[in-house]
Amino acid sequence: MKALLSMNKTTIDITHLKKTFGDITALNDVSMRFETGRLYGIIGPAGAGKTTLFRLILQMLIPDAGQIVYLQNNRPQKFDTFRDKIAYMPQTQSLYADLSVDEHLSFFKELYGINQKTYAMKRDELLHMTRLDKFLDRPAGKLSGGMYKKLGLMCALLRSPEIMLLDEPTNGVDPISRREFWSMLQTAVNQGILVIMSTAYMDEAERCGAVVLMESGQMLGAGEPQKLLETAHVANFDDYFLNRGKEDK
Amino acid sequence: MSTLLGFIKKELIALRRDPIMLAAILILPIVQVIILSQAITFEARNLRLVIDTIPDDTIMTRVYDHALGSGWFKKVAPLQKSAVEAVQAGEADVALIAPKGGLTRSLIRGEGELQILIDATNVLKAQSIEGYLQGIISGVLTQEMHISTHNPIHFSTRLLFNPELNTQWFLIPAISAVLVLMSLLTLISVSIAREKENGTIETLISAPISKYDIILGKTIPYIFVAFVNMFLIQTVGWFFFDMSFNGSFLMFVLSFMAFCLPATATAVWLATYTKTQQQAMLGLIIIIFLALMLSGAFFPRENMPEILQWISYINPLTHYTYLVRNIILKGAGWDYFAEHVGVLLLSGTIIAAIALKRFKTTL
Repeated sequence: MKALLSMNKTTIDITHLKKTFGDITALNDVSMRFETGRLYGIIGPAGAGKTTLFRLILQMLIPDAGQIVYLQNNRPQKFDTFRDKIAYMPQTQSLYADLSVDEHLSFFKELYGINQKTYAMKRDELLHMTRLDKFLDRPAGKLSGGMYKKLGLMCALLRSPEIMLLDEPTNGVDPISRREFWSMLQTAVNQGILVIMSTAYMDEAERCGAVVLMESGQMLGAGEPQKLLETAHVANFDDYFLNRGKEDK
Repeated sequence: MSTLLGFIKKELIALRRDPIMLAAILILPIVQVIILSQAITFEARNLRLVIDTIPDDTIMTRVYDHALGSGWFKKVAPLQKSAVEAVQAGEADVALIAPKGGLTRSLIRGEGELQILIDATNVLKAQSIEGYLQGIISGVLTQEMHISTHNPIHFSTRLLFNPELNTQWFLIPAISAVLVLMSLLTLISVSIAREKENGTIETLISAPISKYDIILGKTIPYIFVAFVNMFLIQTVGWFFFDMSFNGSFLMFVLSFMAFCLPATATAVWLATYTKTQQQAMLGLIIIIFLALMLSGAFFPRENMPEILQWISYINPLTHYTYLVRNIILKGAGWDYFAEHVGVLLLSGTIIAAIALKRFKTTL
């Protein structure tokens, strides 16, 4: 298992990335590196540039400067071949309100071209994990916030990705569902998936293997959560951001 | 009171920020006025006339000259075919056929009988023709030949393709063509706009599929819907209005498929400009209105000013309406089919190229 993991190391290397929209600088000179085996958290308040960063990684936006290199076992790859490995769960409502849980799964099966055997196995495993098996016929529009996000995660995991990008997946989700969601993410990381998620909830930062702290398009710091807190002499990430606000004034 | 003012102000701000809505509100009435007043008249003009007689038939020649001079009729290019065949082939709208030996001699013998052969596919045109011709002929006889007594000519009128001048027969094929266009345009552009409005488009473009997959996935289901729609209308025509189907069924289906190219391409092209379903609906109103008015589906193209005739010639709906009407009522030949399908495929390819270039898989 360990050998298998090291065989398949995926890396995303971002250097001096910049993106502006008119007068607004959404990202300014951002560099970071993501590697298989860890759960990365992009932490920052609204307007920090988290969504823009994801969209740039997915090449849904074109950067103004800087570059993103995709590596497989330290060998650079073209994005077109790399894209198949990435599953993305957008921040906005990304599911079809009229389609049921079951219909979503079969739509995403076709969308990602998953073969029937893998699909049947994955489907059972995911339904069991999310406990959505009792709601197969319920339309996505009628699911609760937590169930909706779980369905989104399930659709993303269906294709056995090597990388998962989750844009504020726990936003608006109740505390219990959030805890379940985190344990699902941890399972994914243990299976050797590179997970990158963004969140505006500072308390979630401490659950990540590594965090990138962002504010107004700037990168404030990156590394293991505990070390960052110790260096800044604060007890938690709420204080980290609040203290920064004070320094600015 | 001030609450109401605040409300009104908010609505006006929203309106000003939506360029497509603004265009629909300001440009549409202007276009409507121009086109409605210029292009839309039920009076038939520029009807293509051929005559069949012997070379030295004086009265017939005078009648022909007067007809062309009246502005209602126009000459059609010299034909290899006989006058009757020209009408049957759709190359002329009306044929005036003199009795054996010519109209002049026949009148001298006191037994003037003139045959009028009218293509009644277009009911509106056909209804005017007989009246126009009778007026012109009696004018020639009384003013130039000084034959003043009661009209000595007996008219024998034959209506081809729609002998009862059944308006439904004329309208139903056109309605089916228009409905095919409307269902394709509306369903496709609104469904793409809905993906954008709801944010689900992000899921699609981040999936490992090409933009061609997305476009085909968003159009093919609605082509089926439009296909079913078209058959429902034909069935209604057949069941309630006794309409017969005179042409090739294969040709009918192939015409539909050819029309799907420009229609779906237009829908995709429109969708590249819109972000919400409301914008898509407003854009549709503009496009459908123009396509309908400038198609000859209900208002004859022949009466429009030349520039509008050209615009209506590049309108795919014009050619699809021609095809549907001629296949159903006349059983059009493959020559006719090839000409109009050619225009559909050409215009469709151009629109599709523009739409594909504009359709981005970035946000």
